[in-house]
Amino acid sequence: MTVTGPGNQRAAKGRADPSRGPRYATDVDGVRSWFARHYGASPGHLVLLLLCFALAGYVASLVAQVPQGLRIAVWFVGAAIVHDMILWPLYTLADRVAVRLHPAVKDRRAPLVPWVNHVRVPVVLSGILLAISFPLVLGWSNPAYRTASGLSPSPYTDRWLVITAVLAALSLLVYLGRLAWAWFGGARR
Amino acid sequence: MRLAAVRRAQKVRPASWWRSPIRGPWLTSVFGAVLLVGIPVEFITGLISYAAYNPRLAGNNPNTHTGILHFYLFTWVGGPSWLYRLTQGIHITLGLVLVPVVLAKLWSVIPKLFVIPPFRTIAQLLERASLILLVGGIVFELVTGIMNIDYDYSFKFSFYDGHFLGAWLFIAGFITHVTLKLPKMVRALRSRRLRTELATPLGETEPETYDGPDGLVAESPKAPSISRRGVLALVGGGSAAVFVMTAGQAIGGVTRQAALLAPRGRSYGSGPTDFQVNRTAAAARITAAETGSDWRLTVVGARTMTLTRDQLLAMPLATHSLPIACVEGWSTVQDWTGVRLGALASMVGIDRAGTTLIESLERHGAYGRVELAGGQVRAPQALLALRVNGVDLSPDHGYPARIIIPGAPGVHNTKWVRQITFSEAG
Repeated sequence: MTVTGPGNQRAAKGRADPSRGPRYATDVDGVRSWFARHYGASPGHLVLLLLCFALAGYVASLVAQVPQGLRIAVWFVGAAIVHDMILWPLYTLADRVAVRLHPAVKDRRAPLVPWVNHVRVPVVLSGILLAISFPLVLGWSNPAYRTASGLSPSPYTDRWLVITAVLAALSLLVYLGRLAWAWFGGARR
Repeated sequence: MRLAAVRRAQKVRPASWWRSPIRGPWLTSVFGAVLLVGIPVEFITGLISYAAYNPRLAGNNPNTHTGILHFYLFTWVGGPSWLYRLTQGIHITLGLVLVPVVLAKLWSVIPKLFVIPPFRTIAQLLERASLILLVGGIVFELVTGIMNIDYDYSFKFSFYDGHFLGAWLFIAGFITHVTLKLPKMVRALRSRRLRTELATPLGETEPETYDGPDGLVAESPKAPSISRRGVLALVGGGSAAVFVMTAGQAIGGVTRQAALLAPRGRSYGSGPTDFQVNRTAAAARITAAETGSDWRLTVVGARTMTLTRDQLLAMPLATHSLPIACVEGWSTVQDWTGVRLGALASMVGIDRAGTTLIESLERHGAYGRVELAGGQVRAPQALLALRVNGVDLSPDHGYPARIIIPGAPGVHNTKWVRQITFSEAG
């Protein structure tokens, strides 16, 4: 992306000097710099974005014709909003709380082995597994699941809970192992 | 003067809010590079899946409005029997495996969302607007895809319309984003060495080079609580966990037992008909009376014939090991025994079968009738299956007779067939 600023304008003026070269080059450069000054990037950038919006506009016109097309539009925009304004703030907040609860390494009360990642890892993995199977784990699709597959009841909630518990237990075990290692290693020293 | 403006902006924007010591263009670019490979695969396998429905044949199109976006369609004849199993298995499994990478990528660039002012030039305004296509698009595609494979239709629009058009909206934003950011990504990837990063423990983790007030690197980063390699391992480990918990429904065999979170990874038992059912006879409202001894198969061609199940069983039978491969990503290979569709066609005076209409006893579902391309019907392995794994089909698997053709989406293997209408190939 071209950065516009006083420097560029000066450079453009410099090139406009007739003694510097043929007149046509001056015009092209002048137009370029005028464009960059007013638009903020190269003409190629504008062409690309216009093509992008042309395609998107065309697809949007198809969405408008589809039954329940408005719902598609709402879910499409809603998806970005839910991620950026709900999901991200929530997990960031949770992470900040965890980090804040953890005493700093230099602190007197600091644990021998920092525990914050032993909370993060199982929580993140469990969260990811929930993200790829939430309708089943939360039981949202139970009636349809039962009818379609002939299986009932859905075991997915229990499975996810057990997987989460196993991840947490593994993380704790590794932590205790590291703690023991540090303790005995430290004692020897 | 510019510097003063920057300082003022920093005062307004509490720079201390973004303090991640590991956020930076290199880390973002690693996730970006993975998605740069993964997303085109998703888009292409998605387009292939739509083509596999042969939507140009009457009544087959699951979508209502595709405009000119179906320009690429070709007649899907299936090719090798594993073809759709492979492409759609990749589409679903890779899509799920990319979820952690997408979340990590979005996390890594989130400060850009809150840059103040949001835009300084028209160029930036347009670019930001295109990001709605990118971010809305990827989250929409993942969420609708996940809900659909999990039988959750609470979005209350046609999945086919939404996922197809959503993919095109997304790809518009994706191509734009890649074109604009590719040089930056390459530069950022070259700014650090992956091997060095993987050898750098938490204690030695330093922030990336500061990239300005609108950049990704924090101005005053906190002491790191996780290393850069730790984040990569966490995201990679997340993807690996997703793969283990879901891929078995597509790969089959013993891996199916590991697919604990795959909607179609469950065991039905150990009998010959105990494999995945995606629509039960009860759900399709098929009654025992319809499939009992009064059931007849009507075969239409140059002449019309009506056959009982015993008459069909008395014809020369063929056995083929063929997959049912569903749009929802699961598949299962079984040994099917039945009458070759080609034999049924010649029986009613059709030499070289063209487009063929299959009609089921099921009258309410979307796939109670389907048209098969001539090439699909003429495939030597294409069967009207009567038995599976040596026993009669079970009601849920389509008793008295079902279609099994190689390389087609699962829903085209029509169950509870009542009529087949052949035409002569043009």
